[in-house]
Amino acid sequence: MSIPSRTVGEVIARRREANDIIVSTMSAMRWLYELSPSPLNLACVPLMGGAAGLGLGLALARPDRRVLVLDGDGSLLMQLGSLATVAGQEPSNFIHFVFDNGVWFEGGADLKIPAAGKIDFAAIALATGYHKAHRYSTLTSLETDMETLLQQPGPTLIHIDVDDSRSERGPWSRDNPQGEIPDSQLTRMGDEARTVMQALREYDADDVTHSKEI
Amino acid sequence: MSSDKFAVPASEILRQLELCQITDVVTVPDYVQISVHRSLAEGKMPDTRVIQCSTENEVITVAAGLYIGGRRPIAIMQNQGMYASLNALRAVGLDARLPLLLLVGQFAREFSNLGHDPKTSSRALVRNTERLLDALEVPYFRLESATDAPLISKAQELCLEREGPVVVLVGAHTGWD
Repeated sequence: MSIPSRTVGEVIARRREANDIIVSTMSAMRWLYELSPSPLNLACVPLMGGAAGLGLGLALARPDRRVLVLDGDGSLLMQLGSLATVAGQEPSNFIHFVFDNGVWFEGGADLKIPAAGKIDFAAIALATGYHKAHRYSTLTSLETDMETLLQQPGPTLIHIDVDDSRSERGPWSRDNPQGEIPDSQLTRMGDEARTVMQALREYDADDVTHSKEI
Repeated sequence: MSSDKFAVPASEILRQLELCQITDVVTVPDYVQISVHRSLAEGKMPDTRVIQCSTENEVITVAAGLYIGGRRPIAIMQNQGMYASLNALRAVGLDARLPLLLLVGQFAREFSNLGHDPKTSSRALVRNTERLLDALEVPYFRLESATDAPLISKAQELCLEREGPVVVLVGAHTGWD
């Protein structure tokens, strides 16, 4: 069984708090900006494998905020050791979602990742020292638990079996080839990083002002 | 032959890190800088957090996350690690244009090359390190003796000014004093 990726996004977006920082990559990025726009969204692109590290750095820098990482299965496989790196630091504000669709290039080519369908990321996370890890393949159970998952001290890994949403972009072919990568895809992470930095500075400045007023 | 004459003392490197107001050392340990790692482990910079990573790719991305979150990290790794983390360096440093200060040891540099141009090393790993950085247009500085230590501060100024990575290459085993 699996849950549509966008539906998972809706569940997360409904419970996202304004102060949460979200680092996303791959398929999760496609709906995040529509469902939960925020100056605290950071796309890890084009850098498969980088989301967990980027999120960890942010979580350690800002223990006053939750950091949600929306990772992909193929992406996490590229830096599987990052689970140990995260666990070693024990960030209580770190929540790591893994969207497991079993493929690279979802919808466009659907090429199976190694050991597709066999990897239990939740078990691996617990084995490396994550405080909590869970796996979900039904919407009902995910919705029931989501509030608790987001509130409990981390690091927490949430492995979600998602479908590959074939209908969204259609398979690439001679008549429907993959598109050119625009400049924005290469500069996006930096642009959003600077937006996050500005938002954090403004928040900190407001916080200081508010403290003085008190 | 020993490398002592060319060694930068660990104490001097730590002093430079303090001058740079480094808040976090993000690392996969460097054989060349063992004395620096030992000093950090002994608490010689108690206000600086040391974050061990599983790969040098993570060193780059964790350091980037720390910077975005308002911290002042430095990445410490071997030349081999720099080779391994090229894609992360490209994404974070060149495309995203985030400042990143790296201290990279020239692992496996033969002692007979010390005092000479590292690009003339007989070992491909060593002689190509700078060539790789040249190809990526990443500026670098060489630490070849104790008097070069202030280049770390200069490197930090440059990485903030240019909004990109700057590498400080540690040419010889750091000293134990």
